Amino acid sequence: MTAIIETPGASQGLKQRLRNLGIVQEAAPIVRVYVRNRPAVIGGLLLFGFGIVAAFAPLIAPADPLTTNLRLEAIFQPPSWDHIFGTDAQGRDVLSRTLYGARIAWQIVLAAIGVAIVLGVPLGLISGYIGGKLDELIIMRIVDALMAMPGLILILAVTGALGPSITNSMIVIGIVWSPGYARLTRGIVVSIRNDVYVDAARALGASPWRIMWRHLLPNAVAPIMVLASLSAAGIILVEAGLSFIGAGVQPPTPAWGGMVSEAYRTLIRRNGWPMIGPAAAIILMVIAFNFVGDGIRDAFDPRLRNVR
Amino acid sequence: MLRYITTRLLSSLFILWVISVLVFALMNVLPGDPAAGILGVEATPELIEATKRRLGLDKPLVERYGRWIWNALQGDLGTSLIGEVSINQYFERRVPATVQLGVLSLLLVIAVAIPVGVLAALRPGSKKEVSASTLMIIGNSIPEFLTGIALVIVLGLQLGWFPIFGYVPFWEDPAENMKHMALPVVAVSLTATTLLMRQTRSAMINVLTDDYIRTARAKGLRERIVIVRHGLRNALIPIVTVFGFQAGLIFSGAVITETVFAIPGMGRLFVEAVVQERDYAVVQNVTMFFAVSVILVNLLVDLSYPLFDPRIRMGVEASE
Repeated sequence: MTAIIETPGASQGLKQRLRNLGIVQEAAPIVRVYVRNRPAVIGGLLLFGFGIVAAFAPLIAPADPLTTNLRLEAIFQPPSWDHIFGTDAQGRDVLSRTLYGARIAWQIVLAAIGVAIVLGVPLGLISGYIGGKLDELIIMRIVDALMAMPGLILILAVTGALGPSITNSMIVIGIVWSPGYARLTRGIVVSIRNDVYVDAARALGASPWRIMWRHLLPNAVAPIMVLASLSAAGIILVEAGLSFIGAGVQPPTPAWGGMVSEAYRTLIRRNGWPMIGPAAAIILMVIAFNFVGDGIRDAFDPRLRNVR
Repeated sequence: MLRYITTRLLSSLFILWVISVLVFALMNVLPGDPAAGILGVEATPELIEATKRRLGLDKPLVERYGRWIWNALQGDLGTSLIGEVSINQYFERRVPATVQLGVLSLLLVIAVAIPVGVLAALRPGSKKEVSASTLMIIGNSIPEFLTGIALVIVLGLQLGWFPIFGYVPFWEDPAENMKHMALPVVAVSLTATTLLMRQTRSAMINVLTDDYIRTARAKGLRERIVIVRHGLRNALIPIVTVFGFQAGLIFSGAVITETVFAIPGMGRLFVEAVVQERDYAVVQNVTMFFAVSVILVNLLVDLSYPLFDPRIRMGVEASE
């Protein structure tokens, strides 16, 4: 029965949905606004580059990232044609490790955002649509409390319970980022839950789940995408910090933060060359994500400027 | 006014309570048996049982939570699981460095960001605005530990102006203490400073276009009085709000920076408890220390609004 109902929120393409939302007149201007934003384009190209490096690291990297060479003349080599970023304390090629590090960074960003969306969005949908005491007194209070805390502190606390590892980093960062998604989704749902097409669907006997999934969620997709692109830079930063203090990806896996940490420990006795590659990679990737995030936000809707 | 203060106070306490429940639940519900963890490979079921009983881990969750909070409120944080040392002892040794780092950083942020932000607002360059915000993004893209390491390399190792690690308590040697604190404080406050500077600048630019500023100038007041007493005072509300957000940034920066500079503070303790010892009794207390610190700064921010905003002082609802 419900399958016949054609309501605006449900069955149209992204373009039409955005048009209905009043977010844009046409989808094409989104691309046009984005392309005109020079930092956003540069950021996009950089991320594309990081993506290529991550995907084809074994083909691009000149050496294996884990093979050590502990002979005295092989460790702490300054940059040369053989080792463009030099070698580290265990004689590993820093360039290769930096390239493989792009894989770790991409994996963590994508997985953490995935976890945050899977946890946060349904919570926001339910909280916003069902409303009442569950929404006001429980879910949103927990969201407020979590958002009052600095991300890193919460991440460390949860890591204390789960233990540090790459998988746990993805899960924990996702958990800590999810309240932002819950709050955004809830806000959108609250603003549209009494729209005519939702009433119509309800009158025709659609179940709450169907309404949330088919009619409310599609309206939240664009803002969620914007939030995802904005949170990526913060996730890279926090993951780098986490690996730096030893609570994230564990060595010998080449995470950039951990590589900087290893090199920093021997800075005084030896040299700082092994830091250059990973440090530059972190900064470049965060800048790229920031530029792209801002670009996507401005292209979709400058009004979203205040979402976290 | 009194009502305003009570509401703020209660809501801060409420948030702390929610956080304490969440932290306790996380530590105790997530997989991993602490008693088995302490005993390691030699654990027998009987030994695990005995250890659990000794540490009070055999009691129901609610009772353990209640006991934790009740004792903590009376100043007893319990004992660590590893080595069973009183956590109060850890706190006594570790808190001073972190509090000093946090307070000095917050002060530095205010002392630099507000004057520079105001000056920047006085001449808003239209063309340079875009590149300034681009620069700001680049500045915010550098993690604290890299800022710290850069300071260590340039000011510590190459120029030799500052010691690069360690901590000397203030009451033992104030001069050495400040020398040790200088680089960490700068590393922690850099990001927060750029953010607050931008906020100050835009708030001032907004305010300075208002009519009463023109009136003040027309009255012939000196420019400095116009800017500070009429302009800045009204711009302070949004500035102070953003400052509250920065408290979180400062304290999480402290965790990372204490590692860079090997400062024996709460941040180091946190990392040691999480990474090396997996000691959740310490972890939950340290987490609450940071929660209290952040919420406290935000409470102070909230309580300072009446100083700038007579509407709150008079008990009128501020309507935005």
